[in-house]
Amino acid sequence: MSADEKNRSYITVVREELQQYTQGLLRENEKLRAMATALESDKRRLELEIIEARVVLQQKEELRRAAESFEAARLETLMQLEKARHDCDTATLELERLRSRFEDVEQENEKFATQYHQIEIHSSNLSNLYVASYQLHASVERETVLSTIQEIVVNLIGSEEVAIFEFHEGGGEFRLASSFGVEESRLKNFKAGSGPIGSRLLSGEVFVNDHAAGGEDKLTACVPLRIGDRVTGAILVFRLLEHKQALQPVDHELFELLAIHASTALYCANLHETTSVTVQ
Amino acid sequence: MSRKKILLVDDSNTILMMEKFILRNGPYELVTAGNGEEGVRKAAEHLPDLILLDVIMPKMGGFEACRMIRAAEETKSIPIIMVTTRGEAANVEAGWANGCTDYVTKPINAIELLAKVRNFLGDEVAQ
Repeated sequence: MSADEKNRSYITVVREELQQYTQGLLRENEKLRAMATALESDKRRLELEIIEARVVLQQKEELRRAAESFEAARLETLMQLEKARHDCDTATLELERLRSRFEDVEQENEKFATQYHQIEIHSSNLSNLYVASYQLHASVERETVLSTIQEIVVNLIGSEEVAIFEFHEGGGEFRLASSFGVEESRLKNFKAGSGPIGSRLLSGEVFVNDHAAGGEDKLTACVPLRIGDRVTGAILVFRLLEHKQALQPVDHELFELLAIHASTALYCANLHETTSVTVQ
Repeated sequence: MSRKKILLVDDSNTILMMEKFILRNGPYELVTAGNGEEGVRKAAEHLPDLILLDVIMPKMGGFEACRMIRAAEETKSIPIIMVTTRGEAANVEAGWANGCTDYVTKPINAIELLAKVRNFLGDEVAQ
């Protein structure tokens, strides 16, 4: 083979090799291009994933913050709950204290109501005594005084059967001065110290039948009219009114008052009558 | 403002004084009469808000006075509380029949009387 042929052959070989190489390069290039495309695609995908990951991270951060906020709120609520519990305990104690105070006040109120009621009764009793005393000394007319004694027995004690006796020194006996609601035939004059009533009067003490009840035909009270130690007369109280169930403490007071004040009123009236007659 | 007026009719000074004593602290103006006749006259004259009327009185008794007060146009609606020593049913019935509104028995129980008066008039001062 000539040199020329050899050169041609070499060139051909080189050309072929170059072609093969070029084709190889082209294939490689193609591969690389495909790889670049794939990488580009991967890059975009990864970028998207990064974005998504960032979003997730942001959400996670938000959730963490929300969780922290909830935790803070929970703690705050727990504190408020604890405070509310404390307030509730305090309120319960205060309620107990107020209940106890209310019970005390209620008891006090009941006590005052009872006292008020007793004072009302006391005041009423005092009124009775005052009225009786006032009326007895409101006149020096004998008939008025006798009538007042009857009124007191009828209206303040509650008996429509009453007799008033006066002691006459001369005869040494008690004589009927006035009566109301009792047949005069039942009311005989009696000597001091004789009979059940005359004997009782000697002591000068007021006799009261504490068992007397409304409507019973019995002697309810025998009230000696006293001036000092002297018995100058007597008031006999018989049947109590039907609706008067029993004598009350104020009735005893009235009997005691009559014993002193009715006698002095009657004494003054008698004195006035005597004086008037003398003057005339 | 005027106080409510109560007419007290009784021939007993003791009872009149007692009633005045019981009612003196209330917001009431008290007018008194000594018998039924005077009671009827004063009822027409004063037109009280309430009358306390005794049953047995001279000149005119409580039942008759009650009937006359009920018969007069200007006094017919005034409440009347009869004040009687007799609490028996027959007497109470007679009271109702003659037009009384309520009754109290003697001896007067101050607390009971005040309660009844307050029931009709109240505690407050009339306008």
